[in-house]
Amino acid sequence: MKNPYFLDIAITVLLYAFLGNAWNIVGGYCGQASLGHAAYYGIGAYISTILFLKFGISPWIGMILGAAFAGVLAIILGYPSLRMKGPYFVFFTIGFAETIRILFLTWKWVDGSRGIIIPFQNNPVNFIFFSKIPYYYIVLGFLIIGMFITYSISRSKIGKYSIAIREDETMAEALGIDTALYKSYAFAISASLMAIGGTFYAQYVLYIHPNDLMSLNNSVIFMLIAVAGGKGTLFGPLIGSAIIMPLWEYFRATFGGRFAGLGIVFAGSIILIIGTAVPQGIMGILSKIHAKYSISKDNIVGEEK
Amino acid sequence: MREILQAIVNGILLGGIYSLIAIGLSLIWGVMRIINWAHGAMVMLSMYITFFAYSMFRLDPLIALPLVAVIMFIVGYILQMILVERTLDSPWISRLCATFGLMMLLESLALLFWSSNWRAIPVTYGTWTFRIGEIFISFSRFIAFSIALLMALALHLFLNRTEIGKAIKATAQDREAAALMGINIHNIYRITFGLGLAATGVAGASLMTFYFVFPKVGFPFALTAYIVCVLGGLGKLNGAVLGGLIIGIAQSVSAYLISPEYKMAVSFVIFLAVLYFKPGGIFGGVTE
Repeated sequence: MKNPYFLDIAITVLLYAFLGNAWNIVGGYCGQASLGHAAYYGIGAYISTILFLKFGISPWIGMILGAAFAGVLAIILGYPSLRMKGPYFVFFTIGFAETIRILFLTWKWVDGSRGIIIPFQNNPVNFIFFSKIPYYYIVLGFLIIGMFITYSISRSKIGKYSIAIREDETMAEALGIDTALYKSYAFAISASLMAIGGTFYAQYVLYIHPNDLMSLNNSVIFMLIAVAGGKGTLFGPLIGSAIIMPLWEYFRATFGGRFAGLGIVFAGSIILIIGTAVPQGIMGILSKIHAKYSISKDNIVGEEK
Repeated sequence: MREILQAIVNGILLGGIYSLIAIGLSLIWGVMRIINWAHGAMVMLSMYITFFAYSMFRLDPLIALPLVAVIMFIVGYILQMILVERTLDSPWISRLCATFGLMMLLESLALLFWSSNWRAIPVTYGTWTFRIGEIFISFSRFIAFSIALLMALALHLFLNRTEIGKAIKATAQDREAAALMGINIHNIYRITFGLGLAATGVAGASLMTFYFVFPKVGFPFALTAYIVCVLGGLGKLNGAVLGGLIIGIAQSVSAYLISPEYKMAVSFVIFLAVLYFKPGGIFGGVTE
């Protein structure tokens, strides 16, 4: 683990597992495919960075403020948007993220399309470290906390309601669940985690730009990771990230110069194959294998056809 | 005042192209309840076909137009047969993945094979303009707009007057009942997807008379088309035409009044506001 290159890949895998996990709370458990999560990711990065550079507030505190802001924003936007069904919701999330991205690109106070460079001030209080190793442990900690939050949600009333909403929204409403309210709770938690991930990215890369953070491509990657691993499962995003991010990095490193775009060819094919052939993701395949080789009938009950 | 009027006219001319792209999208949604996320990539593909028809055979975009439409129809028919059809009964995130993956695949393959260079066709009528009163009108944009309106009219007549058109409408209204009446719904789906892409083919070919092509050219057009569809109501073809004109005017006027860089943001704000207050679109589209 001393090699910085491999450490960087490990950090990327953990960060994207964390982000995929955050997406999964809304996309997997609630069944609301958001393609606007990159906006919260970017907002988290920008809030902590601006507080740090313009007001001298430690990114650790900025991270929490950013997460709170993203959560509130998600509730404000979420309550009406989550009443939208199917494609209208996806359109709304894309439209929202793209609007935010264009605003940041043209906003002079945050340096618009030049992006912000965070000066290297090596100090744990500044959330800046010389070595990659502290980043590795920090993102590992984030991931564990994030997965624990997902686990607690899935065991709590919000989680049960969310799954009920995903399976049959009309039925859930008939049973007296305020579907929009519970969806916006889940949305707020998910957005806050995204913002935390954004701060981590900003402090790790020390350069932020609206297109790097808030592009639709990012939103797609979050979705891809959760869907490839198995949406609506606890370990799905981690598995998805562990498989996709190293491959992505490999394609970028190997074919980057001469065959630009081959990495996206690969990503596109994966999304396409998952969409048509394995809608349940890797966790779905694993649980099918498990169900096949276990004798207990409990595993077959509730299995998706 | 003259400038505003000019901006409105330009907006209407641009809006025609948006309408045409949105019509394909709306038709596919209306019949199959599938959002074609690869719609922008299809615009890009038809623009490249038009470009290569020019660079290899010296075909003018307007002459190549019917050819491009036919090729795109075949592409759509085959794509539906081998890809989209498999996802019809899947949860809709999978449906999204299928066409979204297709978009990424096509855009990156275009980048790989045709590089990111911008290419344009130097048509002779590219710089022609004529004036009505104080307003200048670009000849090629006017032609593109007229083609878009003619296509919309032709599609409307096709859906209402022909046997296949009526079968498409029947399938859109009730899939099971249409199947029971002896309509081969899978064939209807393929024809619909083909028609949707043929519309992008026409749009792409007319765009090439005054625009340039590069691998990511389609996505902004597709985003605008989604906005247009939501404004007009998904699945409503006349709504798509009206929505296209509204967004065209809004973009053009805001580019003049505020700044061109906010043109997309303005259409998004209109779109978000409409969705916020009327979650089903202005004219109320078909959702489930």
